[in-house]
Amino acid sequence: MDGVRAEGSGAVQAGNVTLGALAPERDRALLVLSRDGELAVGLRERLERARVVVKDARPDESLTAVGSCRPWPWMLVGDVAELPPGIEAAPARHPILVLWLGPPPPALPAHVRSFSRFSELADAASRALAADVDGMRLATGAGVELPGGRLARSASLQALVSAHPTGFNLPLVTFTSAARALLGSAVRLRPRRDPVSGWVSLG
Amino acid sequence: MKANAEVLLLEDDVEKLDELRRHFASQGFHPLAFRSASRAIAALRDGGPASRPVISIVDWDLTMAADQSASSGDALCVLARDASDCLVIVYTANADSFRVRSEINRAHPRAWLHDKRDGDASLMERVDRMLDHPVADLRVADGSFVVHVPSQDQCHHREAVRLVIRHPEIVTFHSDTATRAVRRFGDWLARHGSPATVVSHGNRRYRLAVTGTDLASPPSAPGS
Repeated sequence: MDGVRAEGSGAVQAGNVTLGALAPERDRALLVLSRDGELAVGLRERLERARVVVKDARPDESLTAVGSCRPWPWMLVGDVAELPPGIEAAPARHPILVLWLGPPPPALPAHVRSFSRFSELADAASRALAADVDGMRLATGAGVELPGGRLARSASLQALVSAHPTGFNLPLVTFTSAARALLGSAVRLRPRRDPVSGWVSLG
Repeated sequence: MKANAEVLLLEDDVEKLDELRRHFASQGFHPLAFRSASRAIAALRDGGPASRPVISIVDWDLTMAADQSASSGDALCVLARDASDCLVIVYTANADSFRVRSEINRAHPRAWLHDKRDGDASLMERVDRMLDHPVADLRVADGSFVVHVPSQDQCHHREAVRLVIRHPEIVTFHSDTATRAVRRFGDWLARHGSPATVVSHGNRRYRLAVTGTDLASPPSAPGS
């Protein structure tokens, strides 16, 4: 979204720069959708920054912001009552953790977790970053460190580890790269689809 | 070849800018000083030495700059997009303001914030702490090379300096030349038996990891 203007004290903006928050990001990204940025500031100061980049977007920037996270945001956090048009497609297609402050908009996927207090939401985000599942932990920056130290770059494995023991209501094929990353490792868990709920988690 | 790493300085106050310039020069860095955001942005985009700084120090409050055609926020946006391998410190007298913190975060999600009210000396002390911080058996010396402390051998490449300064973060490098230098640095570490290793995350993204400690110990955050 070229032309989005940066703020800055006492200066006229150049107008030909892209906001850093909307620049392409390949590291683990936590995308915050809010009207005033307070939620993003709080999370940025709370979470270990070597492990996650907090991208602060306004509702009208949300599609660009989601597209800037490669391959997709690790986590989507928000506090807006209404979801910006088109934004529901990403968490419906990819394993993106979704945390919401206040009542979540109805278009969000079933795995959304809502919180009434910021501290509870921030704790949940911290726990997702610090997840340790059968010796797998989120690596610094991006990916998953497997037992023995091997780095798995699979974004879907990263999502499954962060969401454990729950998962995502998505087709099993979404987690092919996770299953591939676990081949030959000491980890016994694999992405499995619950035949009753249809959710995929590590099991 | 010994090439001193560039430090981009953006500060509208002549005296403070000169003080920063002298400080970084004394540390062995090559300071590139600008009094306006537009000049800094032009330098970042022209492909010259300022386009690949290892560190940038940015004053958020540029009200004294003669040229107001671009803001400090604009400069941060360009740094975030075009020089994402650069460690960025922003200092402001309004660090307590939620609005200012939010604007800085949006302009550069990775920028470190420093409170100007702590005094000019505190900024330089903080930068010095970051530069003096050892990573396993490695240190940055004279702003231009990495020293393997046990052997006192030196690796003279700014990309090696960049990886050590940015540890434990992932650094995205912008050219094949830079990534070749990073791989050579990895080989150099292995030859010296260092517990530090270069880890590839693909797409020219690398980080320095220390065997057995990276996940256990948090990074040495330089402050806020």
